[in-house]
Amino acid sequence: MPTPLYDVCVIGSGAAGGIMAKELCEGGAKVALLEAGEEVKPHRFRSHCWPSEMPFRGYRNEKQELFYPGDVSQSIRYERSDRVSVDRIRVLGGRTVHWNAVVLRYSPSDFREHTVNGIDVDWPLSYEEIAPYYDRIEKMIGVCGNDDGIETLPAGRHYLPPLPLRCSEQILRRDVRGMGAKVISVRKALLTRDYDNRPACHYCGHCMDGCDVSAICSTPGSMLPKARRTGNLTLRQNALAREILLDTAGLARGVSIVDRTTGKEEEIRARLVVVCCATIESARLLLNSKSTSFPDGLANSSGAVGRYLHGHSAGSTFLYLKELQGKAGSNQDGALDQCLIPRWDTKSYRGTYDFQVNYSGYMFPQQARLVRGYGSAFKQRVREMQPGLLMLGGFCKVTSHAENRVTVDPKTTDAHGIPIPVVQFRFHDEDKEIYRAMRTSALEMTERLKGDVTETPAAEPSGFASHENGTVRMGTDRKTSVLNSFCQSHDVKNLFVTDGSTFPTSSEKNPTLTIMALSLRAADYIKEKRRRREL
Amino acid sequence: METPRRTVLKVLSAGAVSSTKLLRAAASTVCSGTGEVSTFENYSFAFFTPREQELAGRLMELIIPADEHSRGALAARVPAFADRMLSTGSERTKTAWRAGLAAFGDASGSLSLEAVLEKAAAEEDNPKTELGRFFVDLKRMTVDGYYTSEIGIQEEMGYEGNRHLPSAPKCEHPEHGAG
Repeated sequence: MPTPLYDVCVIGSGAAGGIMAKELCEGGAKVALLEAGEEVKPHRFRSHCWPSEMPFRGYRNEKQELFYPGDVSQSIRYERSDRVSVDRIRVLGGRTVHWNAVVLRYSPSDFREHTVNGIDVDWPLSYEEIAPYYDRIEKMIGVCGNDDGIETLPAGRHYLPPLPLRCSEQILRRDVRGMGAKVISVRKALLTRDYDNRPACHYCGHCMDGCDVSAICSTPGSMLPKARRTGNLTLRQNALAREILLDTAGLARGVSIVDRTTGKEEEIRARLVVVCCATIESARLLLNSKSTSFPDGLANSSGAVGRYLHGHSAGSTFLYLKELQGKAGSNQDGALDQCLIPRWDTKSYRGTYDFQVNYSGYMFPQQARLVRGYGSAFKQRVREMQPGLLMLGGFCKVTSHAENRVTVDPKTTDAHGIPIPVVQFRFHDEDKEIYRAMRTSALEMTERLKGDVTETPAAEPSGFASHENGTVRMGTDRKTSVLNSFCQSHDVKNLFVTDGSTFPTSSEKNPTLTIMALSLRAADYIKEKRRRREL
Repeated sequence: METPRRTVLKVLSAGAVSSTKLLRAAASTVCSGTGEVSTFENYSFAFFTPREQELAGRLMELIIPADEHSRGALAARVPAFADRMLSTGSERTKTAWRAGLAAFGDASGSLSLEAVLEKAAAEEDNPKTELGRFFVDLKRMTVDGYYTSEIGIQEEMGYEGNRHLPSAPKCEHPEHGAG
């Protein structure tokens, strides 16, 4: 029996792939969605597990181990790198089942860094061009928050009721006002009321471990039910893409996969291929797809595939507000990341950072590892401090440079014989300046906020806080970029890449909303080209 | 198959009406890939010798003792937690623990265990001796085990999270700026 020919093969089911598959299925295309991992059904999420219900009390990454199967965490190498790490989750839904769901729009100037600040490059599209897609995505996924009237954080019109501020956040708002910093309710893809046949959040405080009721937007909970209803979706799990195959005309003809459970090799045939494997794996797949036409990797006539790797640098501040220490306990877990301090210094690129607040749960008292001494006095001190905990996560822009890159090592392969990715990354002077400015602001906040400070950002930056971008960037010049502004390959017209690898530059904002908007825009483009029979 | 997700969803939606009940993983949830849990009832020690187990338990209870507020490290079965972490840990860590416990045992021949611990803890900021260095590891293990036990989380810390809440927690104190 001949293998089916799909209209589109989407590789990867994260934020980009989920949107793409849903949109194309609803547009009438027969879609094969490939996912290298497999579904962890919501009843298997460990979000509500108490430590004693697990063998190691939650240590050794027990809560999230199902998202990182096999050798995925080990089959990578860092060479000549500063202190960075990249996320290679392997589960149906990708990082949409393992995120705090902060969704922030890039501002108009974020797309014009070169023009505005003289660093990086400008994007090949403007805020005005992407804004309608931000609107549609926010409505599609359900976003709580406000239009706060902040220039650096443009807003739409479709927000669900905002999350309220907790005590530590009210105090933060009160005490940092004098710095020009504004504390706002975060915008998060989290339902504060029932929406689109999904229930409102129950505020358990375990967003990162998987939301079992899909109150947080995820591909399995929000996109796949709609894609399946069309009858056009074929989902292949445990399907690890080895390479993208070309026909004699130089167009993509499909994807060679290996089934992770059986080891069986197979070709998935499709008229069009969309790569959504995220920054590291998308570059790896293209670089591993070598042919006589593309000896240095598919769609790589520019030599830019794998280059311009970047992502956030980040630094944490933990302090215990004296005003709240010793008070009666309260449930502080909430939705996590309930509020945000958007970028406020717009004088130069050095101000390109923000702070995400109370981004982690309160179950384990972190100060217990730092309070000195022992005995009852130790216990009492740990107990007293806990209500005062305030966490500030500084997220900073990192600039994009050709020498920061992902390559593949043909001599070192993973468990399936596929060359592993090799990451090379160094922070540049601008990155260090931005990071140090964030650190200075964090220290000023700790001065204003009267409390016991247990952690401040390290002196030097580290990255990428799971927000890596670049490696398959878009641009107007095909000599220095891989894709056009619709995420279509300059070299292979039926090949698209729509994940974070497409970003020419990044701002301080979390990338996911922009990834989704780019994927939606590319899906519209594909649908229109298919309608005209141009693809 | 959508059924399990929807079942869970219904259970939790119903919970929304009944306010803040403690969340337990759904009945069919598998918190443990191996079926093992860490309540450590009827636990068989795999790393500590009986003598080491007894000494580790005494030290851990001195670090986090039972007091008028809550039970301590022994009731929270911290020695068993440590035993599991160590028996499945690296050889280097195992060696360090055997040596550290032996050093405490030797030192307590001439001083009380309380006095040896006090001496070791005095070096906490800048450990220079084997006892001082081991105290840091011992305390970290005790803290990690205690504050992840039900006694540590509920009884000692009064943690109120991991519950099903009908609305997001919110500050209502005007003195904090709420209003």
